[in-house]
Amino acid sequence: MKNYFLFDTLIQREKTAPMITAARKLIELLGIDAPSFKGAKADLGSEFMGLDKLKFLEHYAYNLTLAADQKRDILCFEQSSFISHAQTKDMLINDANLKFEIAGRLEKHNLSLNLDVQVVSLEQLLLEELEEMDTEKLTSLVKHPFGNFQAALFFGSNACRARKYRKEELVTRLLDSVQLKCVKHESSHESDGFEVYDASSSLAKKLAAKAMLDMFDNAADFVLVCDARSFIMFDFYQKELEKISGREIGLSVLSLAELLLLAFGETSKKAIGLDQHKVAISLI
Amino acid sequence: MECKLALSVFRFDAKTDFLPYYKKHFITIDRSLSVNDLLAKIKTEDGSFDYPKGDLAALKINGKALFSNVSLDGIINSFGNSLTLEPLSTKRATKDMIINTDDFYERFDLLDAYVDGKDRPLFEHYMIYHYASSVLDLHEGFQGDALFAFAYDMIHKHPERKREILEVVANEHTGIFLHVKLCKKIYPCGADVEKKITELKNEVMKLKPYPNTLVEKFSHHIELL
Repeated sequence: MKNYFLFDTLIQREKTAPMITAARKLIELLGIDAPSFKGAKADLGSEFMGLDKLKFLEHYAYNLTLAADQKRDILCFEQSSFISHAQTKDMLINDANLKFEIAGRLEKHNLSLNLDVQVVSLEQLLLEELEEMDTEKLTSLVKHPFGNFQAALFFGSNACRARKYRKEELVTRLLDSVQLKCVKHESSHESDGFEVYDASSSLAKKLAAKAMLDMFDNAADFVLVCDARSFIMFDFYQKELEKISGREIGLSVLSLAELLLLAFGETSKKAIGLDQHKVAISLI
Repeated sequence: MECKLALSVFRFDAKTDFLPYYKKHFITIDRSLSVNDLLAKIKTEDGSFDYPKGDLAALKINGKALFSNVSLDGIINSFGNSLTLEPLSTKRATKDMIINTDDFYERFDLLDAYVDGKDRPLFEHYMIYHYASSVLDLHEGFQGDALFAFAYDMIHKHPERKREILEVVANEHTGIFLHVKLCKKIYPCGADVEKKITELKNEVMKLKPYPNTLVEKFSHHIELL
């Protein structure tokens, strides 16, 4: 069995705490060797690459090296941290000049750049990495199937980058294993607005509200997000989205780990992190 | 190889219609032909239908912006046999697939003083990126992704005018920091333009062309790391 570090220093941790709680609980429940990645630098989001590419690469190369030196792969349970780590590794492997530059920067921290590490998403771990786990085993763990619900699956505009490193179908396979149906909607790959929040919070909220209302109008019972940034925009700011759009939304937002825990029979809102959501979860 | 397509085609005549509507067409066509050929076939079925022609002819299929010279085969492989055809901007439609592009050319004027007239065709080549962005409808005055991609090309072609060009796109109310990723809104994928826009942002942050509170704020973020 492979060893992992659970990357849990998500972007804006004060707003993404429920996702972290759920991921830790899920890893514990499945008995996966993935302790918290201590000492890792927090996720910045791929937006940071647009501000200072070299600092961005140095930041994530630090994490990759730290994990590689301890012979553990990095397990990312949401898209933002997954893309940033995977893309950094990819760019450094494929550009000798960049690799040289970043190696030099890491030397100042007494680190020797080490890219001998895999960046793994939660869905890859559950469906491809773990030898003892497969769709059948996952299905057998399901105590509370979601057959009576239909979710709006939201990947966001960042998913295009993630697709290079993991298959989107893996998420839908996981959803099949818990019998969750998904509504069709046009916003699944639209922007959640997070990427422009610092430049214009009103534009960011308009973008998020547009996506949320589309999912609401397509009769979704809740929204399933793959990215911490989407969680922030849709859960933490939902009241403000209602204000800016002049419409009530009231859509619960779940992460993949939270959904799986609910399906596996976990009912304690506190243990899953559901008590920390801004928009109450009424599925239990 | 021939295949049958179920089309839902946007129709609107600014001279006579109050609201647009979508007309159904079921057309059998050779997959090796182009979208232009498909549009011509719709025209033969309904003479009142109109669409843009020429090198810059473009539209949206199933929400993705594309030039009409692309092969139908790739379109069918990506979207299937059921296609919705719309103009690049439904809000700016004048006749069916034809739109008023004045807003697009107004963006060129922002950089006109720093580039050559000969550069204009290159700007036009980015038209689909301008209309693909969802920011355009939500934020008045947004300069648009076509201008950012063009600006990237121009700072390399005219390095002596780099500072002036960066000053334009760095505008904190309408400029590059309001860009949202649009890879999935372009057919085929717009990853190359996305890369150019990322690089251009980096150039703005490196050069800090003029006192700008947004750039200052981002510089502070970087320093804190």
